[in-house]
Amino acid sequence: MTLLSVQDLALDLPLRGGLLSALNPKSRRTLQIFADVSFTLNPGETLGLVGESGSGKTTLARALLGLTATTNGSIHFEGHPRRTTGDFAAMRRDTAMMFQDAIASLSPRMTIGALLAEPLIIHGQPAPKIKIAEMLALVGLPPDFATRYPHELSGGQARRVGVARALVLNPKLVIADEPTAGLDVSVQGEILNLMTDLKTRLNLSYLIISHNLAMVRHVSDRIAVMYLGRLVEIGPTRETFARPLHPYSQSLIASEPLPDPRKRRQDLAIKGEIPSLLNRPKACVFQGRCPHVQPICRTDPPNLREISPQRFVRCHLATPIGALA
Amino acid sequence: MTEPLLEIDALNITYHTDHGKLSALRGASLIARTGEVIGIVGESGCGKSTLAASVINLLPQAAEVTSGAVRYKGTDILRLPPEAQRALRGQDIAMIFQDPMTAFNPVLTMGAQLVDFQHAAQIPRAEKLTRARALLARVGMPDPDLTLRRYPHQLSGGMRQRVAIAAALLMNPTVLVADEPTTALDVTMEAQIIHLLRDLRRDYQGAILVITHHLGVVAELCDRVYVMYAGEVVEEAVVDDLFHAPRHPYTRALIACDPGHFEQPTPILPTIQGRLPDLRTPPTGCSFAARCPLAEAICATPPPRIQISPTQSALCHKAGGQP
Repeated sequence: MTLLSVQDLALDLPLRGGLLSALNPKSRRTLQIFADVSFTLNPGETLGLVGESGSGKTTLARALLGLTATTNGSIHFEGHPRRTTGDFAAMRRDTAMMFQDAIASLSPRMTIGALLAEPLIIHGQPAPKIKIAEMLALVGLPPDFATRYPHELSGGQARRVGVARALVLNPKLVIADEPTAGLDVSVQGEILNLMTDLKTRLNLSYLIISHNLAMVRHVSDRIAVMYLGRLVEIGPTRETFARPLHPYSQSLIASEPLPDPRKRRQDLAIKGEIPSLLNRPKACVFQGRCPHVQPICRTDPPNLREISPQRFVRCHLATPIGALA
Repeated sequence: MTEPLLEIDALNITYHTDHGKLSALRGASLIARTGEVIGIVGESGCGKSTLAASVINLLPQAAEVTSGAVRYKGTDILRLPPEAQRALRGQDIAMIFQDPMTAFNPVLTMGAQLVDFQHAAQIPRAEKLTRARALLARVGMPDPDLTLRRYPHQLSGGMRQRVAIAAALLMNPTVLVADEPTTALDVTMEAQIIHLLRDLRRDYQGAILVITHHLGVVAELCDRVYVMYAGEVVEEAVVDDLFHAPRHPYTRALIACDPGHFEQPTPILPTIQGRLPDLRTPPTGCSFAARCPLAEAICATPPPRIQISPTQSALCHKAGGQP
């Protein structure tokens, strides 16, 4: 059974207009953050959500946990629809979030021990010292960390506390927002290895959000690529990296600088900039930067379609072997 | 070999903190010649930003240069009077900062700021505007005239970083210091800025110093690289040797950790165990010994700088053996 299933999820935010729009409600505009977001997540699976800043990744993650209201679509967790605040509150102990800024997500005036006990107390469970020590051991920190304060931790240690705090209620789904942002490359591996290890031991499902393709590639079973509020491609990680089908995924993967001077790229993978959300292109969102753009891309919005087993792509021109000019 | 344009010679810098003296740079040396793109790479706390700040002499108040020199065209700039330092800054040595958001004044248009940056030039304002426009076109801004009228918040991060590069080039500096120029940008914007910098070096008569923690940026952009660890330059090499024949164990470990380096997914990513030494009491021996897989008893004594080839050296007891 799928753990999390998302269908046609959309979020529009009202735009504050000037005096005229206040007088004339019909002229009020909305800003589309994301739309048509559909995907599923199975128990024990890791889905990597990649995309550039402003593509809507973090807002989508918050919406999945009911932290941001949505305007359309449905979310099912463990087969039950999640609509109301009560629905989301009921799933909260089975879901957890690792926030992007690890240190800022820990209250500066609480000890690490108190921070780890907090979720247990909120859910009316006992929080004995032994449980806190167990959680610290689980993420590879010594027990005396329970008496420390967040400012005494390094970036990597704060991440570990973030992992412990996310896992203390034994969740089924963990959403990790940029779990390695701001970490040195030698520490990044530690956190990812820890997350992978815990996933197998505790049968967790992860939704890992990142703009770091090299990282996502090593930890995800499947990968979803987001561009300007649309999922443009979903597929198994290995196949997607070997043969990306959407022109945006292709350029994104080709843009990543490789740590080998013998593989310097001579031409630019992608030109232009991500358009502003206020200037969202009609029809295909990638038309302005796409090297293969055709008239149909400017008139008809493409749907996310299954082009070959397990591989979904939102492009008129994509074929099972890639995008055609 | 051409005469070095910039030479950092055995520089020692100490920070006076509330918790005592911290040795941020310990005998760091570097040479940059005209036409070179130099990479300075290392993880947080290795001293790379202190090194960059010393080149443009923008060290914080708490920093004290205890010994060593930074020579620009043969003159030690750290010992120049403040007015002479100020005259060099921006005109001979310019800097591109990490965060293009905060590099500009939010209440002035780009045009006003790009003219202001040229205040030392004895030319009419119209000429300064023309020069700003030409440089904006050079860095690939699609509509230079419109950009001149824009405020910083009206430009995206990638656009702002292009304008910052144009601003740094305004006075035709001979040394350009770029501190993490792509860190704040997304991967597609990063690729564009790397291409721009690579493009600029062809017609730019000077040296570019790129400070980064990102090995991919180094591989794409630099000619020669200095690897820093705990305030020391632990390895110096031509970029190809650095990636294909690294000699210092730290360089090897750093390259091994980069997830971009694997063709196939690996379930367990390599890491470097342990942590940086406390720079208030730096170890007398090799500063990497505590984390080094090759460490032996001899590593508790100060390591020699072993010259492997005319262009490659490593600060390591064991670098003399086979790579």
